[in-house]
Amino acid sequence: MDTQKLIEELEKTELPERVPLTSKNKLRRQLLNASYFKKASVRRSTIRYVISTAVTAAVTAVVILYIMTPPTFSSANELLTHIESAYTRLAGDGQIHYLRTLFNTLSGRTPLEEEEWSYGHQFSVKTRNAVTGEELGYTIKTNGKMYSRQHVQRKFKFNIEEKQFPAKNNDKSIRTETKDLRVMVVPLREDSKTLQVYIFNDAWNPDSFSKRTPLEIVQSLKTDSLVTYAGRETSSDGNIYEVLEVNHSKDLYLFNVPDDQKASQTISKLISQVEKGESPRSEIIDVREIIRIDMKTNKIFHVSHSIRQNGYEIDRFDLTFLEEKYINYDPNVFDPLRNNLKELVLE
Amino acid sequence: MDQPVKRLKPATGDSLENERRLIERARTYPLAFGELFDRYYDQVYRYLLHRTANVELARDIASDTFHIALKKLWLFRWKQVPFSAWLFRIATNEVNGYFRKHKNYKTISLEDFVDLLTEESSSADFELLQSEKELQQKSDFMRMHKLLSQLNARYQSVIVLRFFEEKTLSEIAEILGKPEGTVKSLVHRALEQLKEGMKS
Repeated sequence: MDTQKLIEELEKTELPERVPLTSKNKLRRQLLNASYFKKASVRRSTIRYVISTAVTAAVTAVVILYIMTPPTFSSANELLTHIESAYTRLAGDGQIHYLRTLFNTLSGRTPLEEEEWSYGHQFSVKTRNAVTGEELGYTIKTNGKMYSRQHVQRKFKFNIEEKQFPAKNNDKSIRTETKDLRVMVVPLREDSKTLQVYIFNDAWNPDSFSKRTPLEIVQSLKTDSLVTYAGRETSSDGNIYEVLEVNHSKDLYLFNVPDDQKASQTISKLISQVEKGESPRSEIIDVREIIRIDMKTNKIFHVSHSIRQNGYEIDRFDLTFLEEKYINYDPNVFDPLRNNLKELVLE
Repeated sequence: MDQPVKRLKPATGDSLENERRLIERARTYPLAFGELFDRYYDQVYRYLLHRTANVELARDIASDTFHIALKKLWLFRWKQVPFSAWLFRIATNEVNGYFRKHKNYKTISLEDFVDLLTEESSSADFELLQSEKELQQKSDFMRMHKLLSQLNARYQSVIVLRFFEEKTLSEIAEILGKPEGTVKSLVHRALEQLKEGMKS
């Protein structure tokens, strides 16, 4: 055999594509929780201590550091218990819970700002374009009925047994549900001729990303065995964040589909491929959830869902809690007539 | 029909300068190290699978590689070469070291592997078995690996890096810490030895 033929033989040999994910994720968790980082954190604290003592008297510095330094955590559960009790202390009986949230994506979809008032089974949600301030949707639920003012939405018909939900806002997202799979369709950009199609199972549900309150996030994280304490970060403006991470390495699929007349047909075909396990391996994605907790307020500050493929982030959903408070009960907040909303009837 | 997903610019960026910053952060921030792990684990694992033709061993040495990388990250000096070269160097040293210590190394058969599994075995064990089965089905590779394993460790490294991992000569030089000319002649000699092995 000549050298060139041998090289061709070598180059054509193939390995299986599968990388054992369970072992890989276990190793990742081990590395992120390695004592190396705890030592690094201690080293940083030590430097801070030495500088302080050089400036002020040693005893005063020790006292100040003791007061100023946030408590340290060695596990996700310890940190979650700490902030859960902080949230519980804040909860106001007989008051409306008010939450203002910003949704952003790496791929540049319209940033949305959402205000939500909730009281028992009643809620009121107003969504705006975060850049222009334009109202995009307003929904009130009271006495078991839904009232809404929504923009016109695109409707996709899938050739599968389905259950349609009205889109949450005008991002033209449609969610459908088969036995095992859920589908989310969103345009890549406002002016784009491309639709992003996410097909996923219950391992990752974008609803859970946008609909939960910070306290509900804490409570669900406490029962999630995949949560990892990922250490402490200091932002450029000196804020200290504790970071948690959840790695959902289940099979999730992401496709880009031309936004044309055939879109519904194409999406139906993709769903069918995924259901039959015939989807190309390369379309499988992972979702990593990163939760940042502001140690000044002991509250969740930021949650992001990083959509990853082949080790790289290809898209990201960011959720920032801008404001959270308890306000006195006011029935007008949940009055659909006063807010000119019509009763919503699901088709 | 569906198109490949367009890869958006990663948050950390792809340039060497961004990688340098990421490595700096990874010395103290676990998430930054996690980002490096995400970028390079699959590459390192596949390189080790090429070298060992054994899923369990590749997984274990990949694990050692990343533990060593974390421990020695503070020693890493930035020299305008990708971080992956440093990781591949650690992986190469580890796999060569393993084979030096276990000269009579033999892979466990699939049948023995199945026998070791019990109801208490973890999902990772079953996943390993599945991966091992898939590997055994790659007969072209298994045949080539058998021939490669007859060569000495240096030759195995250059062949795997050059033709399986498709690294350039300068990348291999970085990984092995040898001049590019030396790598070129190592590749040449390795191919000659492989041809000899095929004849016999």
